[in-house]
Amino acid sequence: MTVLAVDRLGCALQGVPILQGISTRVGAGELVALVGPNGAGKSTLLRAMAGIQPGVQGQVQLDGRAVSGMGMRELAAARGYLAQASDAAWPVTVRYLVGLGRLPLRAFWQPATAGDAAAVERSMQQTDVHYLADRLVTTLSGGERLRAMLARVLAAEPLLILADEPLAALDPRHQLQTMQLLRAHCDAGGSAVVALHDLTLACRFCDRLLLLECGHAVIDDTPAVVMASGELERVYRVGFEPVSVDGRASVLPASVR
Amino acid sequence: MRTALRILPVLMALLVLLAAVLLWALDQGPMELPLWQALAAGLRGEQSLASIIVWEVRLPRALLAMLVGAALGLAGAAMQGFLRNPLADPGILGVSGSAALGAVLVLYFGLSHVGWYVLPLGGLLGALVSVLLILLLAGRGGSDIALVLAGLAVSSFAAALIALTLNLAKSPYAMSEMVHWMLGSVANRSMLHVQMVWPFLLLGSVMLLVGWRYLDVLTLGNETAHAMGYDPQRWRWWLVCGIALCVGAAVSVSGAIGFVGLMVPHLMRPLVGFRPGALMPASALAGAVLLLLADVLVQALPGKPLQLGVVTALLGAPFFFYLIIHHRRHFS
Repeated sequence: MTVLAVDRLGCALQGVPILQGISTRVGAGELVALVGPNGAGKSTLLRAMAGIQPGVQGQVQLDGRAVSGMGMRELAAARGYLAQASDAAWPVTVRYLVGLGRLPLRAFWQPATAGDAAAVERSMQQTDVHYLADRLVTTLSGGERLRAMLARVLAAEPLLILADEPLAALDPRHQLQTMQLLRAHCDAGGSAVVALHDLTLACRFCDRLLLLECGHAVIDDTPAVVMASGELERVYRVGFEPVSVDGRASVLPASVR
Repeated sequence: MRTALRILPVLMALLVLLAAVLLWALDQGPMELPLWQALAAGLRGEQSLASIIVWEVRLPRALLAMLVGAALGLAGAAMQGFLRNPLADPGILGVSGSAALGAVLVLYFGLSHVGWYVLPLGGLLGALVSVLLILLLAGRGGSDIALVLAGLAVSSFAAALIALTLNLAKSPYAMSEMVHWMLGSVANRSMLHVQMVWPFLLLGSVMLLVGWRYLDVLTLGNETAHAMGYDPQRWRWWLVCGIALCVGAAVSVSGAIGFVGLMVPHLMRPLVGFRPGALMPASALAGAVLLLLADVLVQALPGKPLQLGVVTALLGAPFFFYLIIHHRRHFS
């Protein structure tokens, strides 16, 4: 079953093309890594998939319906979006911040229910921020804050997770935990598209890699095919060494070309 | 604040405090009156000197102080939440300056003698013009910075036109009338003034209060708020209109009363926490209490009567100093 369908997507900002002719499908249970060098258009593509990027041409369909025709609230409940370098403006507690993720699911006069509170606690457990629940967000480290933001996305229990560099600023333990979490979300029938710079983790955990170069999709296939194609070396201008981690083939950036 | 209290008890306590301060304010004045008898007589429809003073002189003044204080406190909390900056004042939109300009023009052309309603009407028109100007300048898709700069431009222009009007004033008396009005006061107002502004204040307040979820979600930034189903373009103008209604109507009836919108949210944060949604109703009630107290203070001071706006500025500006010192490390 196709959860997200992107067709001939293009985007230009002030006349400069950012994305051109992107088409891809993300099925239920699929974890897709969006990879490519800085400025390749990963964030813009994620925002377009989330339906919040202005100036987009082409079609984005979520669960068979055009994103442009869906109400913002409906969209918010169907897909979760984690922005790059999210921050909180006010010193609120982690629990409150995670609870904000539940807001799109109820009308504005409805108070939070026990179900809301349970979802908040569960997602804090999942991202390992439950012990920070009563801390003020403004006192957290970058990695802790990112995990709290990811918990906010998970709290809404979305079908599709769109995350822009969810591993930035995380220590190795939490990088692995986050990838395992996304993997588990997809294994349970959800889907996720994640912009990543860590190709080792991308090849290891993801079902597919979508490699972007200057707004074009270069290759969109399984890690094995992408690794064998030589496109990673060409696009990144980096030499990769094949490695095997935990029984899965992956790559390690080794030399500048 | 980690020790933020529950919002409902705080609101209840503020309501009780407001009622107590209101009774105290009704009891204050140059004339000693039997307050309860006067209140009761008024309720029975009896006309005695005491009941007329309480019901037709002191009550409108106290009600206006409360309404204006509530509107400014609410608009201040909304503005700070909207710009995600604790140093924002609702005046930066330029609405208060333009409302003042509207009223000053009414005084300049001597229209205030046509009827009591012309002066506040001029203020409301000034506020309306400023919102249209900001809309035009900042554009629909403009950023928050563009909005603030548009507000700054509008308020600078309004200040220039006020200066021009004062410069061209036909007589020293006319000039002093304008300056006096601009200092801000709720003295010598009637129930008609209350009746004129409350619909605008109510509409503006409701607009701001229903925006509580957007303001709470905005804690996470524009992009995340958008992804969570709150279109920033739409909500920006909704909130600007709500703030303009509150501030415009308040200034129209009372003149410029500064710093209430800046101060009150800060006084409330230790009690209800930082989330704008909780801060707005608390700041509205606290603004009403604060301005009513300030107005009682104005009346109690001996010597030449001070204008209310002078007192709030005298209290508020040093508070602003404190805030800047307190927050300056965040600017680096």
